[in-house]
Amino acid sequence: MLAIQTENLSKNYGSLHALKGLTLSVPAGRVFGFLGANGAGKTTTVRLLLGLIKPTSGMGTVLGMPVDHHGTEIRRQVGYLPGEFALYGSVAGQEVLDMLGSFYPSVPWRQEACEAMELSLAELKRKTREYSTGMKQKLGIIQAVQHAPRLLILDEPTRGLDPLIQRNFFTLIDSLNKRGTTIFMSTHVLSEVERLCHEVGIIREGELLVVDEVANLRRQRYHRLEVTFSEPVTAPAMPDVKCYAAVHLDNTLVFETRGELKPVLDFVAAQPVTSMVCERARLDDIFMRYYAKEGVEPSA
Amino acid sequence: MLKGYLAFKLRQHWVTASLVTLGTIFFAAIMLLAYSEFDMAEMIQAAQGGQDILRVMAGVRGVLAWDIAAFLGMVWRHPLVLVLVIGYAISLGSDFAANEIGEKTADLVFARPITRPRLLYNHLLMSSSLLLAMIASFSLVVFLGATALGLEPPTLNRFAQAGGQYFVFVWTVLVLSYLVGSLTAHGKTVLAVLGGLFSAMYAVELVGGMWTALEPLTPFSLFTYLTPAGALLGDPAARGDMLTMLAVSAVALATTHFLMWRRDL
Repeated sequence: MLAIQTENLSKNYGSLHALKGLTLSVPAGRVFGFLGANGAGKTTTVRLLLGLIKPTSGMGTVLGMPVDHHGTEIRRQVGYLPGEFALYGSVAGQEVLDMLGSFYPSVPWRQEACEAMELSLAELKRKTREYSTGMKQKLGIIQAVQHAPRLLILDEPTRGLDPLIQRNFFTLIDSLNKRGTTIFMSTHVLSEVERLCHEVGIIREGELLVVDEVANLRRQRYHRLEVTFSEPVTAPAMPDVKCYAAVHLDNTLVFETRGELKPVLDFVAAQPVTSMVCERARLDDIFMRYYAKEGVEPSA
Repeated sequence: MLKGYLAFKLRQHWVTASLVTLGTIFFAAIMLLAYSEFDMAEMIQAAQGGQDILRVMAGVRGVLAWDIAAFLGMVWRHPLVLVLVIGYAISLGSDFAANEIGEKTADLVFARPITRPRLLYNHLLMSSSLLLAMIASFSLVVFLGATALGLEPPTLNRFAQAGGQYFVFVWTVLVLSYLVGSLTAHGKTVLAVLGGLFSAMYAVELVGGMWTALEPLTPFSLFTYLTPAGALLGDPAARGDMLTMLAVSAVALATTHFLMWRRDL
């Protein structure tokens, strides 16, 4: 079963094409990372899926139900953390959770989420205007999770969270996913995607560039060598190899290649090398490659 | 009925509602105390020989005698009271969509499993309850105060009619603010638009009876239909005024329903 499916979904704001014919399928039970820079169309996609905005054209289904006819039923089974939100400042955090939870039959996961986010009862009793950015984000995560949704849509979920709470958040997401909750996570933090997601979609300027398993993307033929020499060295031009000096590191060159490694290794072997680091493809390199204005390879 | 949502919204608004109610009650009490000290003969003489504009400003145009009913009608229509209740009604109506979007809470509330119209009607129920409590308290205090001071006010039934008409007026303001709120993304915009509109309508009603060029516009002013003095005196036209305002609010509500269903949040 597909948790999310869209076909040629588009959204225009006047002359601005925020989303251009998005066709996407997210299987149920997966953790899907939706990657893109600010303004790429991530939030527009999420808001279309929840029926908060109407599409200019195209259609979408969530948990097998068309968004335009079953909005209420979809929202009953979905938990949503908005990317940018405020809380009602004059009331306590507990009251906000109670009000938002009152739309569902029960809130079975609230306690667990509060514990994972380390938001105590005393903190929940404080007025939300006194909350820090991180505390607001914690409350946002709890309200999204509390009613045990089948699909969790998270827009920039770790914004404002300290590293310890981020780790707890990752554990919580793992745990919810193991119970069958599908996670659709919009973000531009690549490390989150590498840590959490099975599959990733990259969107740029409203267009979906690629959808693939994270493991497949990382398997792409790409190498990055960072080599430090005992004295200054000048590298010769090599086909399909990009070479540049590392920032802040003396006598260090970085070689990036999508082709054969042999010419680089032959050159390096003849030099006075003091250290060498060879990295596999990282998601941020892949992301940057897709995101480069020039040389986009949408079909890769 | 969404009990959790209603309780939350009532908790958010009850302090301001109480303060506005107390403000209007305090104003009415002062006016009643002052009335009992007035020289009635002099006042009737002044009213009969007074400028039309004074009668219009007092909301007693068409009232022949300057009696207690006319005076109480003036209290109801005093600009200070009008500014308070209209301003508060606008702030309540703008709280629903415009303020939720402007304050960035809309994505939390509107992502719940409920249709927008149902949320709208629950919010309207909350706002209407607060305004009804405010108008009822105000009307009751005016009646009880006038009775206690021996001013021989009209019957409680007439007060209820006048209060009912006043509530319908304020409710129409409320519904219009939902309507404007369904088109904008900021509560302040609603306040600015309706503040300007009601100022213009007030001016039209104020001078429309004396300046013939503006007279054709007076039916378009909501204040033309706010006639509590007439209701207190048992004027049958007061009921017609109330029905006119109800018709305006029904059209505004139907339009708001349609717009909220369609709009992007």
